[in-house]
Amino acid sequence: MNTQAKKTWRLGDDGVRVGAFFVILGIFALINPTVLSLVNLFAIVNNACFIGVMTMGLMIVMITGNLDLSLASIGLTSAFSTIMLYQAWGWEEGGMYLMFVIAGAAGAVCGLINGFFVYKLGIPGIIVSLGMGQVYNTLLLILTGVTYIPVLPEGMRRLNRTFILQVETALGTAGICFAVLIFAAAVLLVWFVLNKTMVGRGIYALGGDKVAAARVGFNIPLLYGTAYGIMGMLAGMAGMMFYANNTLFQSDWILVEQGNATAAAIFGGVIMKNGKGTVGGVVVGILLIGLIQNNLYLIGIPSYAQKVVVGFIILTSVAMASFNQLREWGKSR
Amino acid sequence: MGFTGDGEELNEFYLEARGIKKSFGGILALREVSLRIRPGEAHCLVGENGCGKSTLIKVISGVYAPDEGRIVIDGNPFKKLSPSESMALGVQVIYQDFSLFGNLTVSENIAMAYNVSSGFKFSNKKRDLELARGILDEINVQLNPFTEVAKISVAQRQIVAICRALLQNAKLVIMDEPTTALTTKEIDSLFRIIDGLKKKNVALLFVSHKLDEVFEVSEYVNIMRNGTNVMEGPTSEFDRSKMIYHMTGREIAEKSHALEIDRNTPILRVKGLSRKNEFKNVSFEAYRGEVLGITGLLGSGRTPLAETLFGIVRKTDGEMYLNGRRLELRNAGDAVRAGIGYVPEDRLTQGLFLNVSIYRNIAATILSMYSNKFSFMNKRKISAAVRQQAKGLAIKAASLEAPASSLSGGNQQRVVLAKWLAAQPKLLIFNCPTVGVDVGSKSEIHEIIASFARQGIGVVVISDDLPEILSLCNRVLVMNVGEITGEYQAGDIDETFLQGQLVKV
Repeated sequence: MNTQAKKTWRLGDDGVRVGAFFVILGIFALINPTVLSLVNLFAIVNNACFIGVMTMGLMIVMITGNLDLSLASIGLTSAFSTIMLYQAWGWEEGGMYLMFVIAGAAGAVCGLINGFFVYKLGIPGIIVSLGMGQVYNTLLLILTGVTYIPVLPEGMRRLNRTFILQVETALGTAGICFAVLIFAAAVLLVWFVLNKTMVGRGIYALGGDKVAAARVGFNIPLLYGTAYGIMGMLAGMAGMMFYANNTLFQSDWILVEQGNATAAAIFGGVIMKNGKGTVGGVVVGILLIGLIQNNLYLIGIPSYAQKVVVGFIILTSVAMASFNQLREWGKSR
Repeated sequence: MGFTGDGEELNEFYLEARGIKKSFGGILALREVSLRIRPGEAHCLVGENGCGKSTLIKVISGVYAPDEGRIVIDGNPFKKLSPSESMALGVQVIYQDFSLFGNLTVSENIAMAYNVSSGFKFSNKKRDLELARGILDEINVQLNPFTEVAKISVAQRQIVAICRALLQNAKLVIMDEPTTALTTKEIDSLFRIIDGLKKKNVALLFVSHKLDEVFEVSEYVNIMRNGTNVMEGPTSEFDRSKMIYHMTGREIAEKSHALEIDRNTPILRVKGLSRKNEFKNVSFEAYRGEVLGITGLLGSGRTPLAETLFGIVRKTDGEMYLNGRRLELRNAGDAVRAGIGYVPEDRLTQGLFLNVSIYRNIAATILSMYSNKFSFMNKRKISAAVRQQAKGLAIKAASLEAPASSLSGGNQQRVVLAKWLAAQPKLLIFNCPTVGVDVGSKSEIHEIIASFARQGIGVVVISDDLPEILSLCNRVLVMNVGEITGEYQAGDIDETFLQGQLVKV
């Protein structure tokens, strides 16, 4: 009897998101066809990697029902401690892969601290991250007195010169950076954990109904630990990427990026209130933010107007989600 | 399953609770309770709010450890159980909120608890689907396993919760107030599922205070009062009044509240009232001394009508007169100022500030009445008005400073009533006034509502509880797909007739 029950295919929210991305890309391309050049498209992907890794981390915590505003701060503190470690040990040449391991581990520790406060003390994640974010921003800087490192170790700076694919075009060499592999790994990891493991399903369950998740028998601290651990690790690796790409360390440069990651996750369809969001949707959100970050000047909008556009994206996405919610409530009345 | 009556043999029962005692901070919740449930039997636990039913269930499901007594499951005695032990032995509780995940699909919700208790490390959508389909087929229910649980009806969610319990090899399914949120038709299909479970030798324990359902569904009744069993036996040995007597310890006549009605002065006159897509061309009068009932199925427009009368939503057409004066309500504040009170359907979320003291809840509507033109409040007058209402309605609370959430359901309802009465309204609108209230409190609330009408306040009761409509109201209007399709004197019709009018197309 249930064999008749078929999956109902609707133009789902993720479909709308993909559509919106291509419409925006189309508008950009109409104004300036260079947007569609291989050099530019590759540049968008390269530049989206950092924000992408960070957003994947943010997403998994948002599914549990907690917003975290300290990812950029975790990135800062992880990258800073990795750089200091390299300098202390005098590693100039090597360690492009190792830096991700160290920064990831440092970030995971920070993430777990946030998760501990959320689980053990029941403080909402947004509050924990506001408080801990300030600590991560400044603690190491206070301890060392360093806010600016003019030249990063050579091994780190190699990141944005290491390509996995290069194509010669009329406009120059188009290349895909090594960082794309890290981004791809982050997407794959979060997708696998969320969709293929029971812990991941538990993270969705936790976002759906915390009490019910406990009644079903989930190990709640394990769920928080996994979500926050992965968040911290990815934030740490993203921070490392950010500073390696900038080739120098200026402590607070990264902090503005928190807003971009939040916008990418929200446009990507993550709804904290009831544990909703798909990895596919978030990837589209990341690409959209990447497009806007890199190409506004190509269509004649000054790049400092970027924040207005990002703010607009956040509001529109939330408004659309609320509108859908209202429509569903209307139906059930 | 036959009844041997004495129950001497041990193995006859799937679960036995013997001499359970439990106290919280010196207050005795369970004094001495025993319970015996046979496989394949529907056992009903009835009693008023606060009699200890919920505590007993929590002892059986392992949430609380009893202070004294034994729980015997399948012949194995336990001094106490942990929730996971209890589940492993086949005891499954279906909570009133169902404990489902609205963001996940039907199949995943059904399989989730089974997956966790089986210790699976990886999730598998195909396995979930097969499990869900298997169990849905077993109880013969059609439900799309791909739908998100947030998008299905309350009745369907309950089915999902039952399936989840069955998948975990349930031998006893405990259901807490299983029919509260269901329509009559949905209740019938739930009872069919329950019959199927009984045939599979699954025992059921219902906690309910809806007596009609107790008679319809159960073979055995266990009545609790003040933390102990007062009476038990096969359902066939009970009738309604006997059961109410044992539940409350006193005789409550379920009588109709007939009143003197003044047909000359309509308090409320509604002419051609419409709201786009919700209801149209609604006209009626409510007279002094009368309780006017409006009934209809969910979606008939009864709730939007109530909300329009109170100004929560705006009408799109039509006229409203209160004591002959035309009303143009823009919001609920206008309605309160005009002298209309509204006691909403879900008293917990709409009618009360749960975290705030009882005192402040009652005072909420009268602040402006006892304030001067500079908006300074006269605390003494407010205090006097609040205390008078609390006394008049016999609210049982340790202190008026206690939060409203500390009260039982019936007393919370009284606080909402007190709140509106303090404002001295001309018209009171009740939306399902006794949802989730036990028999004793229900008859008291009906008596209170009738006394409003006797005091000359116009009373409109909107409800889908047909016995309530028939015993409480003098005149009944039936709403069907947004229109008033019939008007009857309550004395002239019976429940079957009214039920027929509700579903007539």
